[in-house]
Amino acid sequence: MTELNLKVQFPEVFQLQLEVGAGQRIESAKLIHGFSYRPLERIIASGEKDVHETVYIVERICGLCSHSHTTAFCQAVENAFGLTPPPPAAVLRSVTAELERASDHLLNLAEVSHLLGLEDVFKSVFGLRREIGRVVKGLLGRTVHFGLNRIGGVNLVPSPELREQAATSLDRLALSARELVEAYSGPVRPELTGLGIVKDDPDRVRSTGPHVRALGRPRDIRADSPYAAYGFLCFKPVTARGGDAWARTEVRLGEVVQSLGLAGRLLESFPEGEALDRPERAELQTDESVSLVEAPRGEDRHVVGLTPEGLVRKLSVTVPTFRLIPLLEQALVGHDPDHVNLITASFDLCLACRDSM
Amino acid sequence: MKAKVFNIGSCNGCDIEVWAWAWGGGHQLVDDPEEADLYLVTGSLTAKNAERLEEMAPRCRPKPVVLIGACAASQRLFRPAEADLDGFEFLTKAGRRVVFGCPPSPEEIAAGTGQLPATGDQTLD
Repeated sequence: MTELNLKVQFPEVFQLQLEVGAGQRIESAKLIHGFSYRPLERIIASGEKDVHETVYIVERICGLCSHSHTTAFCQAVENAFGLTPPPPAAVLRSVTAELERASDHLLNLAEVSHLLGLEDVFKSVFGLRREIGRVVKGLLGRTVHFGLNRIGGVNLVPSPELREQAATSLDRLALSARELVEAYSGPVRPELTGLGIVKDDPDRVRSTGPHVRALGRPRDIRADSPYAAYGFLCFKPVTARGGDAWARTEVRLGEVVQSLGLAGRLLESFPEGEALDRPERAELQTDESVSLVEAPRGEDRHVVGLTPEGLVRKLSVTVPTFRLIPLLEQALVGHDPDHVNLITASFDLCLACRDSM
Repeated sequence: MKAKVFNIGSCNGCDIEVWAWAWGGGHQLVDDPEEADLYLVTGSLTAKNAERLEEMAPRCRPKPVVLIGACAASQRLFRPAEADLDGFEFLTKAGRRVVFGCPPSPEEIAAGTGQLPATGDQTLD
């Protein structure tokens, strides 16, 4: 029996300890993380930070899905104070969430093609991601940590010209994304089929996200309990069958196309109005509130406790990667150690989220 | 250029922009610190990562270092770092540069890494 230490994905973020048995098969896997442990929950819940300050810190939980975290946090605080973001704010939150989802999935798709040594595919995936980054920068001025969300609404609303420009670019990008699906599936599908199957009963995997939709279950918080502007949209969550690495990749490919389409549609029918809900006086209606958001990797849950003065006394964040780690450890068993990198990549872990709590 | 990234406690935001810089500008990100032309540092140092840096130190040579982003530059964003980055000789000896931003854009990273000498034996600044 040998033990292997592997480092994959971003350097130094986590280690995988594998026990490899006879016939080069993995017998057990253990993921070791916590290297970047930044106790943000403790820093925030010191009882000294007010809700507006906290939005800024919550955004820094993760660089990949920062908008999902601020949306979840702002929604929880808005619930507690009985605020409703006006329609332009709700729509802009959804647009940004969809663009974030598309960029995030493309980063994973790029990583998988890079691991397979498909440089041409990698270049086109990364090219598309860069184009989306340009659209986001045009709309919001930033590509990472947008600084968009604010309690009660959003900080800025792009001008009609910028929105129109973005909608036109998104139409074009949705077309290139559709072409990419073809170009990507051909070489990648045979390499990933049958790898890293999630063995749990799909109905017992209690979460949402691409890994659940890859088991053929259309579970998605955007559709099941709509928030922001998702209630106005009619869409069906992308699903795939088999629960293997290819099924997860297939869901991501489908969601890139879908997300670009949804963002474009929302921008075309952008409502008029204020960016912020500004009541004369907001009073705390409940001192603890919960909010769920469909982050690119699945359910992101924020539980926020507030004092009557509007200071944060409690924050509990459950990030999607929390639920992914045991599934990965299980899915690695029985595979050749050569496939570890690919299987791990197909789960798209985000240890920055996981380690910040 | 070959760069080795030391993610010593970042939120991945700077790492994404480093990826974008590397892939967009034809640079290579390597695992082996000896192979690299320069070291990039993201995040503020955590206790656990300090242990790993120490393990890695014998394989590291003094090379130009670029601190990427507000965390790496200040070593405190929301609280002081858990360990001292200046204790690692290979990260101080050949001079350091700082690229500010949260996170800095790939263009800013390119500007900050642009004119570094190929060997790490000279002192910058």
